[in-house]
Amino acid sequence: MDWSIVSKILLPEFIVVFSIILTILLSLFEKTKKYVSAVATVALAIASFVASQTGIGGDVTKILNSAFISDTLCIYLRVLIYGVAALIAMASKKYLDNYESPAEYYPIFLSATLGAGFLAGVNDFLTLFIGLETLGLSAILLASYARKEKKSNESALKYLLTAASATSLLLLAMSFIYGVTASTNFALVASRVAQLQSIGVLSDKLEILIAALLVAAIGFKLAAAPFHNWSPDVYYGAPTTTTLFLSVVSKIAGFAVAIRVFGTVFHNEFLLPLLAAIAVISIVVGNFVGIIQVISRGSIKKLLAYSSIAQSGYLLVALTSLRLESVSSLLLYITIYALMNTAAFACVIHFERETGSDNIFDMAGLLQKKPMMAIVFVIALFNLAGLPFIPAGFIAKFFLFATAFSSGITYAPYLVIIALIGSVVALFYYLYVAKLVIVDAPSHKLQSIPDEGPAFDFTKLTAVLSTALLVIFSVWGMDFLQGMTEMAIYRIGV
Amino acid sequence: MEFLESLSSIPFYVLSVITVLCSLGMILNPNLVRAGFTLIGAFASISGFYFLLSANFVAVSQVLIYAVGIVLVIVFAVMLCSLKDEASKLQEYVFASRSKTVFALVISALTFSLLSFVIQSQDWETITKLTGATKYASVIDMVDEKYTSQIGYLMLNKYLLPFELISILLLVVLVGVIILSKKNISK
Repeated sequence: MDWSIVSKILLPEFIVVFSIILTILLSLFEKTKKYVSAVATVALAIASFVASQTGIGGDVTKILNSAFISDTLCIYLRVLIYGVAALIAMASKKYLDNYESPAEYYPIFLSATLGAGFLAGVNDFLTLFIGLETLGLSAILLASYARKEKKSNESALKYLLTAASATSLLLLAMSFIYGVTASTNFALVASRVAQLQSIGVLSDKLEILIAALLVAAIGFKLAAAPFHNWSPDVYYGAPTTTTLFLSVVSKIAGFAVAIRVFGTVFHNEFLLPLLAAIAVISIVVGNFVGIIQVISRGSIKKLLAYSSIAQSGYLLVALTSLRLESVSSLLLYITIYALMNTAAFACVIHFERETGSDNIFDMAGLLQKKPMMAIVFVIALFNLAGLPFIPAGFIAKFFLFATAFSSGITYAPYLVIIALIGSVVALFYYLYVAKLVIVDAPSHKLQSIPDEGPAFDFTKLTAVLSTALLVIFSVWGMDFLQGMTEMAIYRIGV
Repeated sequence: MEFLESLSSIPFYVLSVITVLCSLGMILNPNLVRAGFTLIGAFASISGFYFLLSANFVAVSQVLIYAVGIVLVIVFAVMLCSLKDEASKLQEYVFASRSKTVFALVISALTFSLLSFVIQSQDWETITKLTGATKYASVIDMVDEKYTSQIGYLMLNKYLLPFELISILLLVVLVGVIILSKKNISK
């Protein structure tokens, strides 16, 4: 085994592991506690940069007996995961100061990110399972972090129990796959499944069962309906920084797994209809229940939870037509989704810290009190709705639907039509919140807090940075997409 | 060999009956401590299955980790927390609504029939021939101690990455548990 290659490819992970240990040590002493968030942010930013440099001549490299694969997909997703995690770590600092022990949040946060990073390059069912557990268990701890608040405990317990059942489904699928292929390695599994399918030894019923179990387990991670029931409650109860982490990093990791497992490892004719079905259900549930949330004066976090269920649905539409272009448009969409969700949640974090409320109607008149936050928030909402202002969200949605439409799969056009109807319905609730923020008079909660001063604040910086990145993607989004297709970003190794 | 194979199915059925009875006892027993001890029986008989499949190491770790470790922790937690009132409330809550019980029964019956139907529908003989996996454990394998050393070898070679990842996960879970269970944390 060539350790120089291993250490080169896994350097970002080594940096994150090192920063986990460093943050644990720093959080031991009162004097050094305040540096923990800075260490985490800087380490993640460095890891993101280093990850972009790990490509060895654009080759597909497998290391540690094919437990981890370094291809363009893995490199890109790791850059994205660590980059967005750095933004989230930056946004969390002040919000967490309200809690009893803010410093220890970061080692757990870093390990959850580490799990997500490993999932980007997962190439073995064992690594997949351990990566998912590292991500999941750490995320449960993050959800329960406000341990004196009942809703936080409730959300953590709900997440734990539903995650346990989803994990059991995944393990059942993995044991069936091991049963028919006698291997956990993705490449071996893929070739043996193809071999068995070509001889016709594999029974249809078993194939359907494995596909259904995999879709259910991974659909849980993506919070795709009908496996979404945990997400609004967990998003609502968890500390908002955790909600942001779950809706962005956890989802990117879920799609990394989905692209790899459904695209290369286990593929049969039953899989695509299943994926299409959960895409449609996610779009319908995410958008229509989102409206009910607005009407019933729900929490903004619950609303964004339903929004992210619907966004999962749009991404699954692209996943059903897993071809070269659809993967690159999926990656563009997930990047822009991560940025706009980070911007929106950074505003919610800031708002919640100032007023102690996450109710949609308390956000009324935000523009008069906090103009910068309000503008960033509205831009993020417009992008989530897919309006061409600034056009990043529109570009991403356009290419996502266009590639799905022209994918040649018979039912893909219908999927796109349903997705379009869903986005029109979603316009209502995004714009309703935007109208509250811009037009209405300030709510009582907002009137009681001071006006936005020039004071520097890392949460604001996160919101502004992600919006700036959105602007960059609006200008160069098309070049980015072309570049990804040309640079063979779609080349997923098996 | 035929005779040995047919003989080896007797312990399988015995163990299955014990597992099912113990699991039922665990669920239906209103006393949490007794339920915990029936759980030991269920775990121990499951480890018997691993012995039958000649996975000695897995069988022993099943006994060590589940039958002893986890159940002991559960029983201790129950005894220390004096959950008596809550436990009876929980029991009432679970068994109060007849419709819920029936629903759960229907779901588990459906899951069982689905899984057994699917497993029956697959021709496993051909697959094991193609993939080279062995179906029956031979008697000689059962006393082979090389398997345990092979597991150690594999953990530090082939499965090094998951192995190391677990160590980080354990470290972080320890940190998290300390934070969650600390009594009062000074700011």
